[in-house]
Amino acid sequence: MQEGGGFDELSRLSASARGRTLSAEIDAMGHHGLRARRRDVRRMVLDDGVTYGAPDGTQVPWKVDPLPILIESTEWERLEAGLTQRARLLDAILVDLLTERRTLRERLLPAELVVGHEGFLVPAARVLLPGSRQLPMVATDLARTADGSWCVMSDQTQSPSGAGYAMATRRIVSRALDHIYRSLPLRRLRPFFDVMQMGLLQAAPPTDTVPQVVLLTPGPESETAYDQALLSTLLGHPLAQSDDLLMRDGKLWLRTTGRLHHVDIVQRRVDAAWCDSLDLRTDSRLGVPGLVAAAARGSVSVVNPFTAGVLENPGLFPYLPGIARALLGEELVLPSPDAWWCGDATSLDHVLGHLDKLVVRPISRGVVTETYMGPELDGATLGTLRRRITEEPWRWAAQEIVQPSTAPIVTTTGLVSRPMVLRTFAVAYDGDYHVLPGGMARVAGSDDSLVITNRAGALAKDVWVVEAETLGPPLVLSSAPTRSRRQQTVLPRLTPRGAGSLYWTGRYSERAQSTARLLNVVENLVEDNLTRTDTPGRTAMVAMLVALSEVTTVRPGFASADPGSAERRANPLPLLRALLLDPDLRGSLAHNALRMTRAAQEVREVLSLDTFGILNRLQTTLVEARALGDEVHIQDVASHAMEACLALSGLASESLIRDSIWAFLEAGRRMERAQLTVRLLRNTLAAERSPVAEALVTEAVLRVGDSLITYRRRMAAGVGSAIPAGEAVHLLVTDETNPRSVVYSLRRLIEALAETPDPVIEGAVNAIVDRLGTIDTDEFFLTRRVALFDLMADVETDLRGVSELIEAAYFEQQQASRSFSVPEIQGGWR
Amino acid sequence: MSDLHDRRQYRVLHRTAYTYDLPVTSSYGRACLRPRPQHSQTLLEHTLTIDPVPQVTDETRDLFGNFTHYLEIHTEHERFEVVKESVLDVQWPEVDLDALDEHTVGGAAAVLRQDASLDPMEHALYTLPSAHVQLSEEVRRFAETAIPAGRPLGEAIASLYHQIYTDFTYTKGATTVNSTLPELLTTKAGVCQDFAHLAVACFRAAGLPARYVSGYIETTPPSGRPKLAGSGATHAWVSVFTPGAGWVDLDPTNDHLADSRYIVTAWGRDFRDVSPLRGVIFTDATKSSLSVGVEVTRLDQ
Repeated sequence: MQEGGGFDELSRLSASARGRTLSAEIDAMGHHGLRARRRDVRRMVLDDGVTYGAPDGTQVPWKVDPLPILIESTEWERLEAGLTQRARLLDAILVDLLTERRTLRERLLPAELVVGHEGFLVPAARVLLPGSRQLPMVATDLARTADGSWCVMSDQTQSPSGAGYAMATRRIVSRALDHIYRSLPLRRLRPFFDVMQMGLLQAAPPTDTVPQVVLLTPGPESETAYDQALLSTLLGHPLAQSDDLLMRDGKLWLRTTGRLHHVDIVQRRVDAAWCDSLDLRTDSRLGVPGLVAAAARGSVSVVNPFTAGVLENPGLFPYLPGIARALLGEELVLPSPDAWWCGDATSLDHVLGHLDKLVVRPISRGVVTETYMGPELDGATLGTLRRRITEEPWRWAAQEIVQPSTAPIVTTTGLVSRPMVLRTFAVAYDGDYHVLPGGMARVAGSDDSLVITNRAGALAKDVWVVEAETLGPPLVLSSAPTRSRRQQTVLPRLTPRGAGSLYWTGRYSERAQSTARLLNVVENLVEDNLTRTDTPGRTAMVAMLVALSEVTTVRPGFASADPGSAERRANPLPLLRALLLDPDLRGSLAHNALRMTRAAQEVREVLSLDTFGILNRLQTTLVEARALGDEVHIQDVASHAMEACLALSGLASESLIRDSIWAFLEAGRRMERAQLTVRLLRNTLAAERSPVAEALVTEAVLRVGDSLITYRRRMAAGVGSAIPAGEAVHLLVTDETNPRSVVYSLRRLIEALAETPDPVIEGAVNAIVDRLGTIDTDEFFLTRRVALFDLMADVETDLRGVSELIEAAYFEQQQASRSFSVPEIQGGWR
Repeated sequence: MSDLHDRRQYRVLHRTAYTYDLPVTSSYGRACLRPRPQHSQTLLEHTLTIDPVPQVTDETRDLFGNFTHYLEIHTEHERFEVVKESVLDVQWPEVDLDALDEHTVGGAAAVLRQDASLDPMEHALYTLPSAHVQLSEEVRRFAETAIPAGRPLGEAIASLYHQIYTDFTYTKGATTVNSTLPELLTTKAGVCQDFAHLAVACFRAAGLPARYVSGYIETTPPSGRPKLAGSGATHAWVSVFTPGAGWVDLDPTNDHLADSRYIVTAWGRDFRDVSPLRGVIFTDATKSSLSVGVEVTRLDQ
């Protein structure tokens, strides 16, 4: 537990009536109740699929503490006034740096502090947004000092992140503590995102139509991918990666499955230096070549402007009070810790003389964030730091160390106090800045950590701001323009990449479902027949084991050609368990489930929270099952997985409007089902067996194809073929009324793609359907069984061909790009 | 030889061509080819011809005041050619290096930190390190010996271009666009671009604003031989800011100050700011070949 005479958010609650209410509720919950809330919160994080990018590139669950921070309305108003002033000040500095540069000429700001900052991108240093504001978005990191007042620790201006996480955290904590949440008059977060949307639209270049905004993202592996996706959903603006955008005729366009859409505004979550490989970092593949030129010409607005990152600069702090007086004619409201920029000779002396007592940082945040806490450094590190500062003093800034207030978090052993920081968010709209009422509070993840970042394991806390008693009219809801509503009905714009991810989400979910069904049927046969020899049941078991490994393409498997297959048939359970649970085994249920989740995460902004709830519960089921080792009950887990996949397809068919999102999910699902059925039949009924064994295999195949009940009903009613296998093939291949049949799947596939039809694909699919329409399914079993094998093999090849056509027509990526530069060499003479 | 500080007229023909082994579908380019006006030159005529014809050619001026073209080509092509032709009047005044000896190198740097004749942003842009001019320990050591803080400024300028000229070998292909200064200090071989970067680094290490200048020189053939057409290339040298005389241009590749044979295209912090032609292509091509031809012809003789 953090010691010291600092300020504690919990003890502060007793100072106000609402605080006492919250405090009493916390007491009433008791240790047991708090731990239950902690569990609720963890479950909800998984259900909502809220994740954060770990350093290794994977997405890990967001960490939330159930207890909120409470801020009274009067205190919030004071803080809000300070935050809007700081935003206005930073905006004024940026405007000045992009235009007159009075701050530099009058030496209010040392030029080296600006020019030497990596955010000062020379090729973009003359790019201006239309209108008077140049800093539409800003976030501020604050800490509360021992006397309870807020002070600014740093500014986020490059591409502020976290507002989406604040919303996600609110959704969770408000449900976990719904009783208390509803009993207090609290400010809501949603209106802020409407202001953000309107503020963005105000930054648009002159246009006659509704401006199109995209949110430029580095991609689903990004540290804050969830934050970006939620923001995209809240604003109704599509997420776009580099491949989704291109420059034509000096304008920016969004590639969609149908056509190109002109883009007016880019809200970028890619750091400016990476936004354009023509004019900025030539090694970047995260941006769009030509974007700087287009922004300079004013055909697209990039928010925040490319050079905004120069304000993310701890060296600015000592100069802000003077600039506030000069540019705004105001005294700076929000204090910050005493700070020094080492480029100034006097400051340099002070910093070098107090190196062990200060926190020292470079003025630019590099690829690796460097923060040196003086008291924690050993002599050698101090020496190196001193040398680096002396060599290039202008690169460094230092601050007095602040002991932040502490806030309680719920742990297994009770409440523990940890240091806390708060990030607030502001957007420019209609001449002033508007602050999100609340923000994202973070507490250190461990007892001894002075660094509070998500990467260092910090927990998020919801921030509850009490509604003022005298209410002004709510800014946004009264003035929300109808055109932004109309724009939302035009959405979604689905990019080729997004369409591809949906298609593969559909395919993997169908593959996972089918693998689950196969495992269920096969393990059931194994249970009944493993100890027998030379019985028809045993034959059927072996046949289905082989079918399982052939359909899932797991090698080496149960097929007699596979080395070691005899041992595997004698003891199939280890491979069956791996096929269920091993995520590293290609073709396993766990592998397919993981691929499905990854594909869905690539387009999480267009999928519902329910989708991710199901996906995450499925992952939890598989992880828990893995922990059981040999004790795992295969059929239980497979059934669970099957239910999850059925729930997903239920969601898709019952809750999605029939737009392109549904269409590509559906197309993927149908394509996969057709392919798997064909492969299943080729590996089962195409081989000759004794009549009893064939009956068992037929039954197993029908169970895998979820058509056994229909089959039995038909046989009982005397409808259909007298040859059981023939009727099964009819049901699974040619029956126009069976949702599991190949023909039915292919007809739905064409329907799904009807919005943007492709005659070549349609022709190819119809050719398969026509061919299947001419076959006599009984004929295979009466005369030429091998013809069934050949037909299924042909159809499988044709289906792969169709899938390739679909990928080329709808999901095609742009060509690879590379940079060139003509060197300067002197010819002839010397 | 005629007076190197008289008025002359030149035509510059500069052709750059890329050929690719597979078609390029889209090409985005940045050309910095239009000579900027300055005290030593007047631009009389200028044409830029690009093949295939770009869908967009957009001329702007960058932060340094250079002219730059944004090019966008969506015509499929396997060959990309840019030809520029300029006619200029050129006359460089003679610089009195002795007068500069009034300041030492260190003294000049101190004066310029407070000097209002240079915009503070420009001062910072040209004094801080840049992408190709990193002031590593090796570079600083070299700079301290080449132009010690106590040396008179005029003398330091002359000794710097002379030292680089004498100690380094001009070798085409010894370096690439991405070579670093420490590498150059080890191999002691490079081309004008490298020598210019090194001289810029020395001035900056001493606290003096210095910029990289891209342009052309009239190349005099070995006596008795005809001048080779198209054998030339672009050239690069250095400009350093001095108290009193302002910007002084020197050429470490050829061991003298700039004179009326020097034609300026653009300047910046280093090569990256003013490369004559660069871009991004969308293609499956993996190989390309580049050919550059420059002809500088004197018109007034």
